[in-house]
Amino acid sequence: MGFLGIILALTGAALSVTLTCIGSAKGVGMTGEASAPVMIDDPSKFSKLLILQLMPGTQGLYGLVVTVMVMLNIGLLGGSPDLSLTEGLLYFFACMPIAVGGLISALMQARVTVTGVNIVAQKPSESGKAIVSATLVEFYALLCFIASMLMVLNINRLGL
Amino acid sequence: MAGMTFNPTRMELTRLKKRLTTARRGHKLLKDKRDELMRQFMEAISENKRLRVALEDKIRSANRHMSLARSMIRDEVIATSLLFPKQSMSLTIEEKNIMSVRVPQFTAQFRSSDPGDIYSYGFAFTNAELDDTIASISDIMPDIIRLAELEKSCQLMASEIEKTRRRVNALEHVMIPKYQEAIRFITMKLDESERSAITRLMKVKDMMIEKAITERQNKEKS
Amino acid sequence: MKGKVSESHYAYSVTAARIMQRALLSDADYSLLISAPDAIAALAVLSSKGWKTPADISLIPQMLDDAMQEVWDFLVEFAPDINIFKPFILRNDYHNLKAGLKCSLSELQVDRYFIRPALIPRKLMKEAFFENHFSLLPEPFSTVLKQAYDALSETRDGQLADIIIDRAAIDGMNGAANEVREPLVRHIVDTLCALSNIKIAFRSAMLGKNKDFLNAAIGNCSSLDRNSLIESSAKGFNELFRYLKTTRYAAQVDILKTSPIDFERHFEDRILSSLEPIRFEALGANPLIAFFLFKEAEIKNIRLILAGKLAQSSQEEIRQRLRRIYV
Repeated sequence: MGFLGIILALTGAALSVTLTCIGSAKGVGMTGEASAPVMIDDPSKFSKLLILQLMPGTQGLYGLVVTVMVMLNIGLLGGSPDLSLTEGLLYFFACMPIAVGGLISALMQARVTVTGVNIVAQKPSESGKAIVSATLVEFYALLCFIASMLMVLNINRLGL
Repeated sequence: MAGMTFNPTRMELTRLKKRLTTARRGHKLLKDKRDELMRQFMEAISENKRLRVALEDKIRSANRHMSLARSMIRDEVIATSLLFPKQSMSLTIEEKNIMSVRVPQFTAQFRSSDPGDIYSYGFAFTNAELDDTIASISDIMPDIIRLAELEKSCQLMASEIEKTRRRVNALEHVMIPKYQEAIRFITMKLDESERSAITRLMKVKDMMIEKAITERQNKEKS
Repeated sequence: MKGKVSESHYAYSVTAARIMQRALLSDADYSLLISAPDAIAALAVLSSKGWKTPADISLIPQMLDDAMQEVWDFLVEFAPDINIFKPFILRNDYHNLKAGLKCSLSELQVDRYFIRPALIPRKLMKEAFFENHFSLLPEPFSTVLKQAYDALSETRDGQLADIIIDRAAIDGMNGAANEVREPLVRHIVDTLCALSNIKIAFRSAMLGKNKDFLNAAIGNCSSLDRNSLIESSAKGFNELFRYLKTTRYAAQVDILKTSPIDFERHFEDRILSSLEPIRFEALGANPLIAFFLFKEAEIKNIRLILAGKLAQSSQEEIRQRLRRIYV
C-alpha cells in the first residue's frame, strides 16, 4: 500500500527536477550558443552575457529544491518512508506547478534571453532592459516554485 | 625667261597664243568648278555639323542609359546578354558623282525585319533600362551610317577643292602670266628682228644707192 | 520536402548575423557616399566603414563580388540549413550556364563572364564547357544546358538560348523554394519569380511577341497563373494589365504602366520592407534571411552609387534609385 504512495511522490519529485532541468539546459544552451559570436566579437561583454545565460538556469535549481523538499518530507532522506496513496498523489500534484511551469518558463525565458543577447550585440547600452524583460519571465517561474513549495511543505499537516 | 626655253619664232608664238586661250578657258572652267564644289561642300558640311551635334547628343543619352543599366545589372550579366546578337546588318557601298568627285553611298540591310530582334537576351533577369540602351543605340545606327557617308564625302570634296584651287591658282598666277610673258617676249623679239631686217634693208639700199652714185660719177668722169 | 530545422538551432547564426548586420551602411553612410565628389572618394568612405576597398576603380566589381561571396561563405559555414538560401543563389548558376554556353560557342574566355557566388564550383563549370561535357553538371542543369546548346548552335539566336535558361532558372528557383519549409523564403522567391515573369510578359507585349515565345519564356510561380499571363500578354498591354489587376500585384500595375523601371524597384522595395518587422527576431531563420537580403541589397546599392559616380550622375538621380534598407 505505502509503496504505491512513495512511487507516486517520487515520480512527482523526479519530474519536477527532470523537466525543469531539461528546460534550463535547453535555455542556457541556446543562450550560450547565441552569445558565442558576441563574445568573439567583443569579449568585454562577457559579464552581461553571463547574466543573461544564467537566467534560464534558475528553473532547474527551483526544481531541485522542490525535489529535495519532497524527499525530506516523505522521509526518504534518513527516515522511514511511509506514505498513503492519497499522500503520494498529493505530493505528485504539488510537484506539477514547478515541473510544468518551470519547463515552459525556462524555454520561454530562453527566447527572451536570446533576444537579449541580440540586443547586447547590437546596442550594448540597452542590455539592462534585456535583463529586466528576462526577469519578468523569471517571476512566473518563481510563482510556480513558491506554489510548489507551499504545497509540499503543508501536505504533512493534513495528517492523512 | 627663267625655266622656259623656246624659239622666238612665229610658229612658237601662234602655239603659245593657242595655249594661252586654252589656259584662260581652263581657268574659267576650273574656277566655276571650284565655286560649285565649294557651294556643295558648304552644304554638306553644314548638314554634317547638324548631324554630328544631334548624333553626339544621342550617343550621350545612350551612354546615360547604359550607365543606368550598368548600375542596376552586373556587368557580367550585361556582357553575357549581348554576346550573341540576334540582328545583323550588312552594308552595300555605291558611288555617286558630285562634280567629278566620287563619293560613297551606304545602304544598310538588316537580317531580320522585326524591330524586336535588336534585343538579344532573355527578359527575366535584365531590365527595361537595358532595353532602352539597346533601342537608343539601334536608333543611332542610320544616323551613324549617314554621318560616315557625309564625312567621307566632305573629305573627298575637300581634297578635290584643294586640288582645283591649286590648279586655278597655278593657271592664274603661273601659267597664264608665263604664257603672256613668253608671247610678249617673242613679239618683241620678232619686232626686233623685223626692225633689224628693215634697217639692214635700208642700209643695203643706201649702200646700193651709194654704189650706183659712185658708178655714175665714174662713168661721167670717164 | 526536407524537415524544417528547429528554430533554436539558429541562435548562433542569428547572433553572428546580427553582429555582421551592425556593419551594414546606415542612412547617414549612404548620404556620405552619395555626396562624395567622385568614385575614389566614395571608395574612401566605404573603406572607413570597414570595406576592403581596392585602390583601383577597375577592381570595384571584384570588391562587390568578394563581399557577396563573403556573405555566402558565412551562411554556408553558420546557417543550420543552407538549403533555404539556395533559391536565391540559383540564378547565378543559371547565369553562369548562359555565360559558359555563349562563350564556348563564340570561343571567348569565359572567366570574366562568370559570377559568384554560385552553387556549382567554377572549376566544374569550366570543365563542363571544355569539350561540352554537359553531363558533368548535376541535373537539372545538364538537361537545360543541352537544350539551350542545341537551340543556340542551330539558330545562333542568343535570345532563344536565354529564354530557355531563364525559364529553367525561374522554375528552378520556384522548385527549390517549394522544398524549403520557411514560408518567408517561399514568399520572397515567389515574388521574385513573379517579378521576372511580369517583366517578360510586359516587354513581350511591348514587342508584340507571340504566344510561342511567351510559352517558352514564362516560368512557374504560384502567385500568378501562368496560362492567364501568357494568354493576356499575347493579346497586348491592356489585356495584360487587366489580368494583373486581378492578382496580388494589382497595386503595382499603375506603376508598371508609367515606368517599368520604377516598377522593378518598387517590387524589390516591397520585398525589403516586408523584412522590416522581422529583422529583430532572435530565433528562427527569418532574421538570417533578412540579413542575407539586406546585404544583397546593400551591395546592389553600392554598385549603383559607384556606377553613378563613375558616370557622373547627379546625386538626386542616384538617390532616386537607391533601395531602402532597414538597419
